[in-house]
Amino acid sequence: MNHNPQSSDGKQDDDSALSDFLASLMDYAPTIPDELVEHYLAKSGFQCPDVRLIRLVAVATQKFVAEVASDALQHCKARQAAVVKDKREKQQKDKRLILTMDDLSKSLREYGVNVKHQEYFADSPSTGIDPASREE
Amino acid sequence: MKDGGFENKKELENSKNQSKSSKFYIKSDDFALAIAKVAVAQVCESVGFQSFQHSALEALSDIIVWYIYNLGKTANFNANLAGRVEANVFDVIQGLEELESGLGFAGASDVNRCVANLGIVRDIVHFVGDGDDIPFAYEVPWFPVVKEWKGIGSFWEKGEDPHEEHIPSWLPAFPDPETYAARSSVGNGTMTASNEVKNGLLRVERKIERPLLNFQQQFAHNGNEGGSSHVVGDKGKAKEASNSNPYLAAPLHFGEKEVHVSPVHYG
Repeated sequence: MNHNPQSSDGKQDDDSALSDFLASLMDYAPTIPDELVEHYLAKSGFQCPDVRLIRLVAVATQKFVAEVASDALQHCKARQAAVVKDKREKQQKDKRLILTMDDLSKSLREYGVNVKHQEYFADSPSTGIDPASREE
Repeated sequence: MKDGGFENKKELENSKNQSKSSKFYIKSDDFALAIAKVAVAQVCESVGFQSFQHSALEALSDIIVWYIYNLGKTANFNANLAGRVEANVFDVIQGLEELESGLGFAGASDVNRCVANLGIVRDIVHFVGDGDDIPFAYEVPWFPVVKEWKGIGSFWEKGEDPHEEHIPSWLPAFPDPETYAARSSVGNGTMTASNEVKNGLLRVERKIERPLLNFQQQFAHNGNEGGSSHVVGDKGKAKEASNSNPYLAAPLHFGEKEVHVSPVHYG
């Protein structure tokens, strides 16, 4: 019962903060265009004439993509740092940060999305064997 | 951002066409997916990637499309649960909660929490505040484009009198008699049994083709009369097709306009 007066004041602040944030969304142009978001929201049955909600969904999606991409970037950098054979070669390769299926599936697994990529399509029994064992 | 050639939209469409023909896999929302791919590529570039694998980009754009769709579905469900048809900001935030619940968010265990004070909203606020504004690379038209279709009016609308008594006047009017009446009657008595069917089919085809060609010629002579009335607002580009489409023009009555028929030869 003690929470109630505090929570009511807090609620007013939060409401104003929320409405301020929604107003500020109109200035921010999310990378994901509104038309695309509206198209898929319309497909799912979401009905809202308020543009700010569309922007909110677009920003949330952009945040999600940014998080996944940054996780994948960390995986990529970790892998590049781990492999240190010839310093000069690796420094040249380090400049190239490529979003690979491998890194993406690792980062998406934490979000509960299971993306598995076919590693190879074998047309002979020796396809896809590790080069170390192949050399042996 | 370097890629296998998505520098401009033409290359994008060309590559799409190539992939279509090679994979025989046609999705109904290719355009939206292509836009999603460009947006995802832009976000990845802002995060720090310099290039990407095509399969990775396609997978990620597929996933964000699913994300948007699922968010809309959840928000709609929450709104319906509350007895509303239109969704609320709180419905959207609850939907975000459900999607992020796998990772967890601050304040999830607090029973008396206010929705706006959730970690999710704060995260989004921080995200908007921190990041730079990266607008989308291309100008996206409103889609899917809704074409206005003005069909053939009813008998009553056209002011025509239906010739038969059993035809009510609110039914759509018949097309011009020129379009379905055969110009020349073909009659040959001496034909073998095997050829009869073939020639019969040819005759039917010619009967259909010639009046249809008359139909087309009529519209071609009429120009784009009916097409211009279909343009609504700024949907110019997508409406160019309907402007030049003679089949959407209003049909003419018989004798309204002189039609010059050139002899057409069939192969």
